[in-house]
Amino acid sequence: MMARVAFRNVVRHRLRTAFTVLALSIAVALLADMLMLSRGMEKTFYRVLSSVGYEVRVCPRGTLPFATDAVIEESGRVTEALAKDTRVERTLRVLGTTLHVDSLPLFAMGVDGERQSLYRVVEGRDVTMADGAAEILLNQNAMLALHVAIGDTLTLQRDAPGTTMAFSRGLTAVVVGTIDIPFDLPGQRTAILPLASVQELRDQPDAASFVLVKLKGGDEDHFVPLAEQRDVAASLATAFPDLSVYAMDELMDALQRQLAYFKQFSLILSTISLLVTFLLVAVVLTIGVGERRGEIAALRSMGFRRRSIQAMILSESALLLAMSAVCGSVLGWFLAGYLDHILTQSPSLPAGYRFFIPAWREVLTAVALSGIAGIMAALLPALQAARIDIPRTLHEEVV
Amino acid sequence: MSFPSDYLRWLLLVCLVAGTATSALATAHIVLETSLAREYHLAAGDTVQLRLPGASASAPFVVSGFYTPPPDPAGISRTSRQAWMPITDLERFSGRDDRVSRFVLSLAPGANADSLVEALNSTQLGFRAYRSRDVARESSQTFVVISNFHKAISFLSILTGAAFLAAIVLLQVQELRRSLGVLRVIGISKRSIYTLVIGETVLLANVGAAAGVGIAFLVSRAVNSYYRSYFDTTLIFSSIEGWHVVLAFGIASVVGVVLGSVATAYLFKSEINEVLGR
Amino acid sequence: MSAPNDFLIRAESVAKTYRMGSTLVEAVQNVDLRVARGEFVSLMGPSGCGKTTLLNLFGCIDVPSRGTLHVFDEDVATMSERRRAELRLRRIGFVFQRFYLLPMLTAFENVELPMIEMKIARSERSERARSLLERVGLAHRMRHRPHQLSGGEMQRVAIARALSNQPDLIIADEPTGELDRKTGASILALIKELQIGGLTVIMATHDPHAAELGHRVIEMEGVSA
Repeated sequence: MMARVAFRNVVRHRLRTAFTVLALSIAVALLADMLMLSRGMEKTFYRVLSSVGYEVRVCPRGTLPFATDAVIEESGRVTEALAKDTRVERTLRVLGTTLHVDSLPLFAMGVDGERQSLYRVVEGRDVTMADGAAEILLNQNAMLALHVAIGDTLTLQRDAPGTTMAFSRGLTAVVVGTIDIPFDLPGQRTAILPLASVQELRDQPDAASFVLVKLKGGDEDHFVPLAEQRDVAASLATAFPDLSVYAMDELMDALQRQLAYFKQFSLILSTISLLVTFLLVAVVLTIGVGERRGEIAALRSMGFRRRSIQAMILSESALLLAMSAVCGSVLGWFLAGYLDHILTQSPSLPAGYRFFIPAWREVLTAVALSGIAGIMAALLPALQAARIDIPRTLHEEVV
Repeated sequence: MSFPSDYLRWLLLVCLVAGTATSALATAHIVLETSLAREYHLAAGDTVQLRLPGASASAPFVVSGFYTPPPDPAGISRTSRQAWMPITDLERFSGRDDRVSRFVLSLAPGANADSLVEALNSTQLGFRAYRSRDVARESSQTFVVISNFHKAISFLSILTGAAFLAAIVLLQVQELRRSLGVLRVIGISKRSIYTLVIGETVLLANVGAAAGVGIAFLVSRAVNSYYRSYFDTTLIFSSIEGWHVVLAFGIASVVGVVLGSVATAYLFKSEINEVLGR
Repeated sequence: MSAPNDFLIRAESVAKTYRMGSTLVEAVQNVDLRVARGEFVSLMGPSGCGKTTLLNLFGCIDVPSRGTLHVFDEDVATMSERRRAELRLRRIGFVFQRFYLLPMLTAFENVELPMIEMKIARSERSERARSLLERVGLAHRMRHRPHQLSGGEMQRVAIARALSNQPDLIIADEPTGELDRKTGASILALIKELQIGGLTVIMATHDPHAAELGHRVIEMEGVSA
């Protein structure tokens, strides 16, 4: 019955309750979104990294993949040494560069290796990796921009068109397929060629931007345990002191430093959301108790125990929080999509990257945390209500 | 494996010589980023050894000074360090003659930058020219996105605050309903009661705004202090300006007027007797 | 002559002092009174003479500062707050000047309220609430909320509520204070009816006509400053 009394109290003032629930719902929604932000970035990073399918990355010292123009000058030596390591299943060398077709720049990656999962062939076939093969794969953006189809021939230049073209290295290649790459930036035009072709165009015969390493023990969908990855990375770092070697989590840590701001932002806003929830419930209930002192004193004079009065106030808090939880969960879900849409406009992010990944786990965590904050906020007003001075209050109500 | 924090750009690798100059054979000079001086306890006159990636031999360079580059938002997460030397020294050292990444042009007073850009781009010399402001705009896109994100969060915060204030105003008005009912009974005009409630609400909202501005100043200082330390930069991450303060009080006043009016109108919908509790 | 356990209330030299800021106010001084079972006692006196304070003491809402007060043969001063609440719930019914009905509950639910605290089964309390409202003449207004009732009707609901846990004692503080004469008379008639039915009633009132309903009228003088 006290729950029914609490419900009646809550709905007695519909407009006030509506505003309270609105404010609490936004607080719950923001908390849920910040939890999604915090976890979403990690999840997406890991998903993008793991879609490439390699556990270890070997880069020029002090760099991250494609972060600079630095290259591994003798990459063949590195892959030979890696091939002798019994823990290594296969390697893939990648050399990135900008090539031009007429005046249109393309980001090109030269790759080698028998099998690779760096990109997915959507149409056509993969390039053959034999030296001298003049074949090229293009992503959809490049196909559309160049107005080409599978089977067409392209002339690629290292340098932009102009009077220096006569001195610029060039290559004619046949388009053999269309590809999809998970970490392409929005609108990016990407091409895949055999490594040797790109090395020749760059006049760097043994260069690679980085080497991807697949370890034995995992498969296409699962990686070897992180501890083993770190082990291998550490021993490779010792063997190649001029290079930087990263296991998956180490790479994630390095990349996430660049997104440290968002993690901290999410922590700060989460804390503020909880604080708002706490304050709102505390203020609303405290003022509510104040305006119902006469009723509460009458209940106490009838013999209602302090515990019953406390239960009534706590029930009101629980009701407000329950309503806010439902509204806040729905609002948070849609808000996540909106905020994600804003942030993914950033030009330097892969097209498939997401900041917010709607997930019920985060929503339920937000609801639980808000619930705890709200109930804690209700404790003091509940205590105050239970300790009302009955005779004094009854006297004040009459006067 | 702990991740090292010291590394330079791909063109330069620094092998440190502990403190003392071995400058007898070193004739090339280099200016290093100031943070390197702090980390490696370097001073002007010290000699450092530079080595290209993959090369076994290194060359000595004398540190002629230190420079703190202007804070660049695009570079706050940069973990590499910078160094400066005469271009001829770099060409000789790297073995890449007559090659640069870009030219930066300073124009004569009154020169038209747009026409120069157009002329350069039409010459087909194998490069493209851009106005600095266009480069700045392009490279700022990420910060525009972050700014939009902040605006979205700000809007939600204002909405939460307004809803919070509305709930409290309605609570206050309900608590005062008997007093307000008595005022009406004795003939005080609705206008006066509106003025009373709206005045109180606006005052409450502006007191909240003042507290909020105060908290914002403190938080802004804390944010700047923390992120400057975290990213080792002198960038200003957060800044409370005059118009922010005006906006805060403006929004508080508008919200106060609107909510006070709505709450009083809501109260006047009740009959006097009900308001007086009969 | 009544035996000691026939007296529901036994007060000896009871006094109550309140602190108002830095001042000590003696609301009630040297009260010696016994109220027998089934008796109707009226308390009369000017405003501020301590009627409500005395009713609060008899109703175990408050404890005396001095003297001894036994209610249902239990010493109020030594009772725990929990025990006093239990007595108020089980054995005492209150009727206030301002009714103190919960505005968001119907008349029926207001009468049910004390029975719920007593954990009486739903069917029994529904039956009892219905019966009480019929008894006070409000069977047709059970589902109405207080703001839909007249003053007299609200006080009837309050009386029904006071009777819901079948108390031995009714304490009424100015039950007709907010009512017109005619309505007040009907309320007083109802209270008298309850007393005739076996309940003990202690009522505070300004109205001499109301006071005359009691077996005894106790005139209270204000405590001198």
